[in-house]
Amino acid sequence: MKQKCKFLIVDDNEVDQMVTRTLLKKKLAVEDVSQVRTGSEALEWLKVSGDTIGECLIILLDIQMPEMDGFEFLEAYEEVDESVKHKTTIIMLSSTLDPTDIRRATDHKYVKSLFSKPVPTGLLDELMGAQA
Amino acid sequence: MTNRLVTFFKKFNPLTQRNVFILLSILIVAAASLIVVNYLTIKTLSAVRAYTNGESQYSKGEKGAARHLIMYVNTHDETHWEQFKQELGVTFGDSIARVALSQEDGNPEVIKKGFLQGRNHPDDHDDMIWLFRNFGRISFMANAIAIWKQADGIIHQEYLLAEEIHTKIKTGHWTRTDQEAVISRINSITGLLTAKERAFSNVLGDASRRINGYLFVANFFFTLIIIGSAIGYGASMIGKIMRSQRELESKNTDLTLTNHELDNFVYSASHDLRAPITSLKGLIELANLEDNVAQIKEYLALMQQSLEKQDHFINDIIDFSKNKRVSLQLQEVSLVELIESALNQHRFMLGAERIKMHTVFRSDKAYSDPLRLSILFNNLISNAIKYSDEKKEQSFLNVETYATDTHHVIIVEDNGIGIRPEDQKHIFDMFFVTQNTNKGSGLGLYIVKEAVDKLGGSIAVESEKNAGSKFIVQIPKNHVVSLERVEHADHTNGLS
Repeated sequence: MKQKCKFLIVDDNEVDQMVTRTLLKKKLAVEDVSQVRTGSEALEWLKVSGDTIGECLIILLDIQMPEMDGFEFLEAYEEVDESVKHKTTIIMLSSTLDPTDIRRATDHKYVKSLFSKPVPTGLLDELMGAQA
Repeated sequence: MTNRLVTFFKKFNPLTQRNVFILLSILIVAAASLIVVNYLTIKTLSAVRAYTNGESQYSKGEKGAARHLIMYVNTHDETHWEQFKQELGVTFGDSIARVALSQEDGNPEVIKKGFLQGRNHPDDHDDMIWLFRNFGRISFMANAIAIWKQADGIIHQEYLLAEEIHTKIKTGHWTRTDQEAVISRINSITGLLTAKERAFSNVLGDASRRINGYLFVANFFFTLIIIGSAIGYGASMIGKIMRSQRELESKNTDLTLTNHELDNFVYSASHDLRAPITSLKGLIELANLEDNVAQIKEYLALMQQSLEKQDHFINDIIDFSKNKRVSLQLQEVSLVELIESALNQHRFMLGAERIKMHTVFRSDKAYSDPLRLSILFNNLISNAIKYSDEKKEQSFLNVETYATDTHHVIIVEDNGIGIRPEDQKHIFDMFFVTQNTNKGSGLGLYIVKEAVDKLGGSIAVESEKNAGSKFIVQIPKNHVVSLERVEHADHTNGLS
């Protein structure tokens, strides 16, 4: 298991942020969790904190957010520094039922997987285990 | 189809129903005229031919008569005298017919008997009478008739001469000198007649050639008209078909767009309905992991918050649907009552307790729709409370009404968190939510805008970030004017 991975939660819903953070902590014992509210804040975070990532970063990305939504973030993510992208895994976390959104997410080259909220810690653990 | 052809057919688009009718009428009239002209021409030509034929019989009769008269003069044989009379009778027949035809009320029996005696075929008689009666005064026929009349006069002279000869021979007064003189006179009469007969048939021949020419021109002309109108009509029909096809395509596109928007709406709405449920599921999972009662209570509070959000959203959807589906019910309403009731409904909303509410009513009775006005006031007031600024020492909400000549103006003003300038143009869009809050469904102001549109009014916003917002609503006093605008708004809206 990749215990040393850092997490970044990108979600505008404060309740969902808290739920995800607490579930990661209680079920997977993940302590190093950052959180931002929009896609643009996430980009800013990557720019500022990109060097502090350490071994790896997992971004849990919501789709529907004001300002810059999940897909707009993914477009802008293209420009992010290769050294950061290399260490980063993006997992989309949403309650969407829109087949267009689901297809766009699962087909996207930067998206490892699409999970439905609340974060399925079991699946996430498996995914990280498979990567390790 | 080539582009040029398409352009050609497009030119025919302006053809109205009336123009098409005119075109069809021209087509029918031209075809009917062509038939009538051809019928009349054929009848005329047939009659002209019959007269030419009659002239030939007339001429033969006269020549035969002259021959028998000369034989009689030479032989004094009575059979030649009889045959002379018989042959001359052919010309008499035509003469009788001509005289009868010249009279207004000429007896048809007499005319036909005359023509028969003139050795004209019975089938031709009707055409001959028709031509004489209808064309008798027209140049070519008038000419021919004049020549015919002159010839009849000469025949009459010839007959008088013959009677004189007959009497002289019968009474034995015949002399050698008479004989020579008479033969020379008969020859001269025959010569005169031959000239007349030739002139007659020349006139008719000319006429028939001219008629042929006219007939060709008329046929050509009418055929052109018929082909032209038919092409015009056909092109207009094709234009019409192409136009309706274009309309159909554009309607299909509209419909596809509407369906697409409806799909989008359903997915957006279902997402917003589902989001609180997924939050709730997460909170329940957390509560299950927790033993600390205080912590669990905190989760319960968050659960309630999620559920309230969902409840709000459902209310918004209901308002949205009502606003869409329920028809306008215009009646006398009290703006004061509606605003007071909306304020009262929100008095116990979270955060309302720290807001000082103030009203100034300078306009009350309006003729409008109470449902739309309620939706309007409820949304604006709940927004003012939802987005109040906790950092401010004193929060306020002012509602003011006044009337202009044409409108009721309602102003809802607060000193809440305000709206950024770049967001102000989007706040009335469906599902638009601003960045700094997590409280909206993105439907409230959209419904407000729709309601105002239905009422034929307008809404504007003045706001400054962190200072507050001011919504200015104008509702027309005379609603009748705005009905069309409402219709229009319905049509242009994809979801209607």
